[in-house]
Amino acid sequence: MLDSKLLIFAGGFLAGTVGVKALQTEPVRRAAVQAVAAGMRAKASYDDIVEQARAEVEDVVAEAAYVNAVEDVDY
Amino acid sequence: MRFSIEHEIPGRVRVRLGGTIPERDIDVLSQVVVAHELVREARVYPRIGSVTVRYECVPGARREVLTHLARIDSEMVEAARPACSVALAPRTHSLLLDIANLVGGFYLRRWFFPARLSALWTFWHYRSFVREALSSLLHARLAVPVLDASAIGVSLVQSDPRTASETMFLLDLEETLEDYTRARSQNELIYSLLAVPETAQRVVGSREEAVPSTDLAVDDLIVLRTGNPVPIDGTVERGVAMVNQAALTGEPLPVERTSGDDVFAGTAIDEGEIYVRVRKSAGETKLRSIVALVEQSSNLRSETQERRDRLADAIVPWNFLLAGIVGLVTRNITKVAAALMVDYSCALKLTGSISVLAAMSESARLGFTVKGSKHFERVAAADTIVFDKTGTLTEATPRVAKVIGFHEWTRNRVLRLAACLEEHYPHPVARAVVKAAAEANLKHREYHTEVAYIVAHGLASTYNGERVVIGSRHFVVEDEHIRVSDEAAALIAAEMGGLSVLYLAFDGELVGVIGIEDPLKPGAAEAVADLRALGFEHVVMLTGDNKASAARVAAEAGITEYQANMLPEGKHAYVEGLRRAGHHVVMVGDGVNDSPALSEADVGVAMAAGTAIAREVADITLTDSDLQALVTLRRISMGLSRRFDTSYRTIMGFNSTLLALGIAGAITPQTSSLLHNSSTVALGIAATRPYA
Repeated sequence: MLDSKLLIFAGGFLAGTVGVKALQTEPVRRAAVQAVAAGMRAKASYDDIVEQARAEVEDVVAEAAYVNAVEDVDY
Repeated sequence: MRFSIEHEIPGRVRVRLGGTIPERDIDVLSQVVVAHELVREARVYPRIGSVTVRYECVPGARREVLTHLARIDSEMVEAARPACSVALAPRTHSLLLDIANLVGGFYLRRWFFPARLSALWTFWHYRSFVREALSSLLHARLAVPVLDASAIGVSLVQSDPRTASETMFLLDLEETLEDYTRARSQNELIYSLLAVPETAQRVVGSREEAVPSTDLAVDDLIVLRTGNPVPIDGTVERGVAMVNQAALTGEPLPVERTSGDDVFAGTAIDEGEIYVRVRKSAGETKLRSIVALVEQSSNLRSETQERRDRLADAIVPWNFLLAGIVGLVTRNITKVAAALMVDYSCALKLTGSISVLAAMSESARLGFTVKGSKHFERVAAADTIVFDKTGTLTEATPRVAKVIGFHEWTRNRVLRLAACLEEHYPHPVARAVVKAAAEANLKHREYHTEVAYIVAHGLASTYNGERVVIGSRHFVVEDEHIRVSDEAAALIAAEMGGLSVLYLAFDGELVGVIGIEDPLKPGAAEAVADLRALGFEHVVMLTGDNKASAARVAAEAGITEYQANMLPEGKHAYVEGLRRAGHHVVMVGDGVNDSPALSEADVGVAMAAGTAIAREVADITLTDSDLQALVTLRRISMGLSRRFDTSYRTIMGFNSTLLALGIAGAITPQTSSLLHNSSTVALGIAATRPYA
């Protein structure tokens, strides 16, 4: 039990060290940049979606309020 | 600018512009859009490059608004930028985005990340909680951060990163909301204070003219007198004055400023007269002075809130003790976790600040600025309200109704000399005299020497070598020993019934009287009746005016307790007496002569048209002069107190039940944590309901 945990820890340590070394090679580095850039794009479009949704929800609310106001006048 | 219409109903349109809107243009753009007279509100969505415009629904409005939008170009935006110097104000428009990011990140990790990676993230994130807990422990305080960190830590020790990350997510959410409430209430305060117009007396040659302080340019010479705000940064050229710099430095006592000294915008003249050379224009300085004021006032948290926060912290050691006992007795880590998982502070703090924010923003919308949330509580607890008369119960603009001249003095001569003196004194009655002279087209040159201002008494000066005094009967007749002949007294009594009377004496002789009409504000009587109905046991009016006019105004307003012929010291002493008798006092006033009483009262409320010094010492400023705002203020304050009480009871009851159930083993720590956290958020949302 303890041994397996120790192994995982050692594995993580190794992966980290190798990872840093690998980052210094050009192709890996370029791939990492691309990955982070994709992440940032995903984040930005998520933010856009949130704001678009907000604008549309507010449109719907305003329209609903207007519909109610008009009905009040009719009756 | 070019745009397409995305959505439209009458009175509201949302348009889409070419691209995204840069951060620095958001405020400027909405200001430019709102500048049109028909536009009521504009909201900018920067990321999607969209703008919502609400406008007045009148015939032809749609076309005008759309033309206005089309006309906006980069030049207009650039031109508006200097006036819109709110870059210092904290940003608030991104709350939704911040929350969306928190929620999105949380579920992204939960649903799409491999469990291992998710757990790794949780451990990484846990560091910030540990850091806060350690800093609390370093200050030898067993406070809420320690409890938070322990609760999360127990989940981690039990290899339950899911619960740990859930707890951290809710704590983060709460922190975001708290930051937002703080920034939001500060912003509203800054904007409402920016909107209050200020004028200054500019000296051109031998003349003085009143100009909006925003029109002052560098190197202009202005004169500042008792009660005036300092609208700019500048250097004193001549004269001496005591300057109240509390808003900038926090120093409560006024400091003496004389030739060569600097004075700063946002301060106010306590007493004296100085000529100041403008060094920096108002546009540059106004925002800074307001931000300084707001930063000071936002520290004034409500007492109940403070008490409950302290209580929340005080419960923490008992929480640990309970967990320890449970651990010793049951030897069951799950039950220990249950005892740690529920804390009271989180919910108490969140509902507290949201309730206060709701009250603050509602207040700002309804026309008053509250400098700190503790004042709501004081207003709710008050049983006595004290009004100043002129400018508070009565119209801010009294007018000259009658002028009588004695001996060879014509009415015009009386008015001219009176105006010449009174123009140096910021008081509604003085303004009425100056206005009457201007309307009668009377020119007055400055022949007199420096005007001495005797608070609440009147003015004295020397004119062509003769002493001239103007003021109340008390001042002119008793202090200055001017004799009033029997015929004059009879004439005054007959002509001036119900009016406030100014006596003008020249060279030791009464030469004229001016009757000032001071009509009650519309709605004042209703407001007084409403205030009584809302639990004010005593409604009192204090005035420096004579008994007859005090009695008239009091009767019209439905006030039975009043004091006439009051000096500022008298008003102050009266309020002090009330407080010593155990009353909680709200004082409403507007003038220099009210400021001692305003600062003595539990809550000082200054009218919008009041002098800078009154606004300076007041805790609450009305942005319009309607007294109904006081009724609303009381309603909101009482609503806030009630909301504090209900949410306190709910939180205590609900969470204690959770704690008991958790320790008894009826529910798992996870369920207890989920119920605890979601009830916290639900109560927070409930706290945003409007009050009035």
